[in-house]
Parts: sequence; C-alpha cells; structure tokens
Amino acid sequence: MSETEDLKAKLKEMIVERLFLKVNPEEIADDDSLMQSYGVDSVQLFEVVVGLEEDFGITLEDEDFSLEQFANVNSIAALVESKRAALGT
Amino acid sequence: METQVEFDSEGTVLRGMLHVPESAAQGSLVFCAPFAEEEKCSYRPMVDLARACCSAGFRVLRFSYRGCGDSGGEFEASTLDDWMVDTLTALDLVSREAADLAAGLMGLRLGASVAAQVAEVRPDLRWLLLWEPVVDGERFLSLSLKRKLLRKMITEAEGEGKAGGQQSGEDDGSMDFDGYLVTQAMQDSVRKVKLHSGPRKFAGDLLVVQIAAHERIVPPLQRMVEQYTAARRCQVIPVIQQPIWAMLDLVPSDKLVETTMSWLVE
Repeated sequence: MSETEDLKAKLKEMIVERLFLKVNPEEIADDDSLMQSYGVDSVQLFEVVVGLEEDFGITLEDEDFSLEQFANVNSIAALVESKRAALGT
Repeated sequence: METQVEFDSEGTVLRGMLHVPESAAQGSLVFCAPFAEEEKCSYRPMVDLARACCSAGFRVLRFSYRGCGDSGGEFEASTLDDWMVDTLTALDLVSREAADLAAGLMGLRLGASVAAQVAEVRPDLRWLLLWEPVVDGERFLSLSLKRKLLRKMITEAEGEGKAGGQQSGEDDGSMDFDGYLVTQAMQDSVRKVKLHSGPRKFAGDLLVVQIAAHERIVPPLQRMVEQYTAARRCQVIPVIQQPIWAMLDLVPSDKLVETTMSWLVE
C-alpha cells in the first residue's frame, strides 16, 4: 500500500470512529462526499478537524477552511499531505 | 424536591436550582456549567446527573454564572475569574445550609476547569467530578475559532450569505462565538487554564470522565491527572459518547450518568 493509500485508510478509520458512522471504513469511497453521502454537518466536521490535529499531527490555519478541502477523503488526504510537506515530516 | 434559589455574588444576583433529597443527605455538590453555547447543548444531561445524584442522597446546586442563563449581569462583562468567585459563593451557600455535610464540585468542559481551579483554594472539598475538562485554555480558544470558521464555511456554502454578527466586536480583540461576545478579558482568563501544570493540591476524591469516540485516554488528560498526587482517590474513566456539549440534537447520556454515579456511591 502506498503512503497515500495508507493515509486514506487511516483517515477513514478516524472519520468513522469520531463521527460514530454506522459504516465500515473501507466502505467509504475516496471521492464520496462526506456531507452528501453521510450527512456530515458542521458539528461532525469539527470532530474531523480535531481528529486531524490530534491524530495526524497537523495544525489547520484559517485559509484551510474551505468546503473543497473537506469534501471527501481524497481532498482531506491532500490537505494532510500538503501540511506535512510544509512541516518537512 | 427541586427549589429555585437566588443568591448574591459580588452584587450580582445568581439564580439556580437546588435539588434536595427526600431522605437524609450524605453530601452536597455544586455543578459548574460549561461555556456559552455549550451550556445550552448540555443542559439536559446536567439535569439528569443532578437528579441521579439527588436520588442517591446528594444535595445538588445547579446555577448560572453571572451573565449566563437566568442570572444577572452581562456575559460581556464577565471573566472566568468572576465565575470562579461565583462558584465559591455557591459553595458557601450549600455549606451554610448544610454545614455538617461534605461538599464537592462537578463540572463539564470549561465548567470542569473552573471546578478544578476552585478546588485548589477549597481544601475542605471531598469530591471533584470532571466531565471532559478543558485542560488547556489556549487550545480551547483556538478550537472554538476553528468551529466558528467551519460553521461560517458551511453557512456560506448553503447560500445563506455571511452569518449575521459573526464579525461583530472583533476590532477590539473580542470574538463572537455563536452570538456570545467573548471579550479580550474573558479570553485572557480562559488562556490561564493550564490544568496539566501542577502539582495540584486537591486532596479529596477525583473522577475525570473522558467523553470521546474512543477509550484511549488522550495525553493532555493523562498529564492533567498525573498532577493530582495529593488526591485520596483518583480515577479516569473513558466513556464512548458523542460530544454532548456540541450536539444540536439531544443525545442520550445514560452511560455518562451511570458511570459517574457508580463511582460516586462506591
């Protein structure tokens, strides 16, 4: 599994756990809309933000808060990778 | 029996509800509410716990800090330090009315942080019950800002335009959290919350309940608990539960209440 695929798998686990979703992490497609497919609202999206910071070691800045960044697992993974690249980790 | 109460704290009328058990009481507890909108979201679980404590023989005082709920004063004119004074005053009230009973504090989120800080100056307290305490005030403010950004992002995406009042008051350093104007003075007082620094002097029985989606005790909470070296009894219990302080809908809190009561009456 590539690093990106591994990251996406971990993101799905985090999302399912923190949002109490009744699906298996592997059932979430990389491009599934979190809001449309799983009814994720702002309260749940906040839990994703906390999970990204606590479990993935990144810090989100004001400019990171756009719907495109939080649209699906692909976009969130890209966000995490860009943050990690900026940190040099 | 539940009775509405009023008492004075530095010239401001505070209002609350006193739960008195039908049989002889075995202790008194003062509940410390969480911050701003979180108080509204978690209102029912706090009532449920108060009633469970009362059924188990505890007198419980739930009250609103100055500037909150039914109490007098203005939210914008208050700080966490003021709310600590209010909590001490509430403790004095229950102690005066039942001087022979041991007393304790219960709090949720920033209310738990208030309770923990008050317990440092009240060595006579027997119980300290903390539900998901805010360990680091700076982090709390940072995350609150992020929650605000998320809500704004979604509101704007839904075509409702910019959320009204979101930017008000920010020129003077204050921040609008869900309509609550959090002044610079309030922010400064919240930033002083650093429960992971210690050691802590509280020498009674401490229960910390982690409310999260998992059972792993998070490092900040673990570090905080390690500071309570003087506590007679100290336990951290994880409860898998949605964040009751942030949910728009009412979520069951039975497990939280049961866990807390099991520990309290042990």
